Amino acid sequence: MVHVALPDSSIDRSNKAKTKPGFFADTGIPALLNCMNSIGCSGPVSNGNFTVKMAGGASVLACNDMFKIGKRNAYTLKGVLEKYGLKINAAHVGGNFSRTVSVEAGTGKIILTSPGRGEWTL
Amino acid sequence: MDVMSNHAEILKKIMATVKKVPIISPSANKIIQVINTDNISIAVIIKIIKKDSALTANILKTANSVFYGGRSEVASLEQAVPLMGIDEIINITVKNGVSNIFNSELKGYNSEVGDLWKHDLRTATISHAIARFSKNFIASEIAFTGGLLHDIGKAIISSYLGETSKHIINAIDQGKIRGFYEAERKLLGVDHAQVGFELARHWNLPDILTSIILYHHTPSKAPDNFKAIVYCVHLGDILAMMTGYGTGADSLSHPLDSRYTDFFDLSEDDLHQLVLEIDEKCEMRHDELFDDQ
Repeated sequence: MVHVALPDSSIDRSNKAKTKPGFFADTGIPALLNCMNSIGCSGPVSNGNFTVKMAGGASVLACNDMFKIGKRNAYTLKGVLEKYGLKINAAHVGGNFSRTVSVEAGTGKIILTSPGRGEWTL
Repeated sequence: MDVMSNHAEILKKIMATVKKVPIISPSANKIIQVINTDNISIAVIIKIIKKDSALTANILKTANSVFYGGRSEVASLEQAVPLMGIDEIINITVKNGVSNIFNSELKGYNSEVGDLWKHDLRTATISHAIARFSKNFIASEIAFTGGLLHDIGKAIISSYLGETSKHIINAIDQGKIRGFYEAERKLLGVDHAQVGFELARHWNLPDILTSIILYHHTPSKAPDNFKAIVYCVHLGDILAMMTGYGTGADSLSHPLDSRYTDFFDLSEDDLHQLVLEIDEKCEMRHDELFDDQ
């Protein structure tokens, strides 16, 4: 799982993209795939091998485009995934509320929670 | 959403609760008065801290922590205060001065113990950082303090909100209400900003801080002389929520007032740089200030 905060690492002047590549959408996906590869998730990268799920991308109420960082993160992630030939199998993005994502290691189940909205499976 | 139909009665109860909140510690109050002056004197701040042994111990403990190099060499406030900076001193002083408020669970917001303080500290850190983008001078120490205190009203009204957060969220999703604070007003006759304002007055905080607290969701209504700093904390609050540090069910459910552009020159690149900068700063602060509590 990778949790990105910003879409584009080109703004990085503090070397964060190297120390924490997951912070950016464009460096987060390659880092995640490399990490998966290093623990045995190798082979041709395609949806045959992976299930891709995406959650988040929320915005604050009534904000202008500049503040829609979550939306840009989701858009950039989609583009990067496409470059690797990966399609998103399920997504729960957008809206004006925060989400907490967890992975049930045994089953691969992706669980989302949001305060006041309960819990659901993606 | 009709749990509290009698607004006058509930307001009376909330105000009685405000009056029962212990006053802010004398050292916190004095330091806040000092930072609200044009020339902040480190010597005066040190003098205030020295009269509070618990605060002195806390500051020295933090000064000797990993965050500041962890060399255990800082033995005096004269060394510690310049090393840590005014913001960190305000941070520790306010946290110590009103600790019970910040440790509230906020059941009405589906928020856990510690979330309020984390949100407030992040809002303070961002508000301090945003101050430099202001078209006019903003006292960043006051923006920081305002950020720490802006949501104190939530600790009071949380219990009065009961189990209503789900209904409030539905109403916002359906576009029936413009934001969470408006729902609070509809339900209780008062919102957390107004309650926080009453608490700030109970604590005799300066007008600039009471205005930040009262108008942080409605910055355009702030008095003209405080508008810029109120917008500063408004942005700090919004960005704290955007970066994953809200206080539960109301996270992201307060509208951004785009008229901040009257007071700030903030480009998209600046905004992304800010997210990057505050993440690093808050990460270190959280490691240091929360792990040992």
